[in-house]
Amino acid sequence: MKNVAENPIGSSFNSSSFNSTLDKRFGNPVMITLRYFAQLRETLHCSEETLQWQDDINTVAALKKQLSQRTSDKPNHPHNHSYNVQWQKAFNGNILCAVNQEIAQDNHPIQDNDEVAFFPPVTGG
Amino acid sequence: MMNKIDKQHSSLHIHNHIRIQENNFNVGDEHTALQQDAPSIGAIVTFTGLVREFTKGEDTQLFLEHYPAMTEKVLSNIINQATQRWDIISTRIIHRIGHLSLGEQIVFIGVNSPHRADAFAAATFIMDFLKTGAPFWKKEITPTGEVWVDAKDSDTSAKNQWLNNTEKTL
Repeated sequence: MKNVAENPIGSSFNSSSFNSTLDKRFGNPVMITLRYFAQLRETLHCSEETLQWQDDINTVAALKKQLSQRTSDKPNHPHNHSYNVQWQKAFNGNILCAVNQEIAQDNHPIQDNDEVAFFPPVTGG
Repeated sequence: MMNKIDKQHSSLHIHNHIRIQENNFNVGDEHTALQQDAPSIGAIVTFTGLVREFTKGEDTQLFLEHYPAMTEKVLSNIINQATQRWDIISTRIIHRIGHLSLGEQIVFIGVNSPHRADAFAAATFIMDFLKTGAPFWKKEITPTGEVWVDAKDSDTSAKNQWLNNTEKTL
């Protein structure tokens, strides 16, 4: 996983099934892009990242659940707990999701190459 | 509301103009552009939103962020919906991003129509849907700190009125 924005301690999923994520045609992992905006971008210290698509994140709800349980890839790092708490709080709060730039509900599917964005209720105008 | 044939005719000539920018804009220039879109047409309604005081007595600045690819899609969709409801010749939407000071212009909506009722209604509709659906976020910056502005229930209510009434009475 590659974080575009600075991310102090890195991150990873506690994930098992690597093989199921391989694109059968090319043997390449299937990727999705995640984007975060406004206070979510600030609290998570991340504006954009790519993530390997897996069977267990094939809907918005499933992806949100995974992200809310996110842990640092450096389990002994002193900031690990607060890192986990930040993701947990962010994804249990009132946030909206857009898949490919259109508002998506929890049951919306997530597929190869999708751009999935998370953000708070909008306040323009 | 005009009949179907007239609407189809007018939609052929519709000019929609969406701009997201850091720079200021000139309301007079935008008004002139709307006039030039349809010189023989009867009504132009414009709305200009300004940065207001969020926290009393403090030196407030705003920072505005958006999600560029989605903003374009959402605003185009709002204009399409307005075009289906009312007889509109052209629309102009400008939204500023970045750092803005108190009193500065932040958003502009302009609607050109043969009828003033359609122009008023469409401008209000576009603004109500922009506020609740377009991916912009405001951060308030004061000498004592920064805070992201919360979404308002009153904005959602304003939008929902349009969903409950197919024909809005102004």
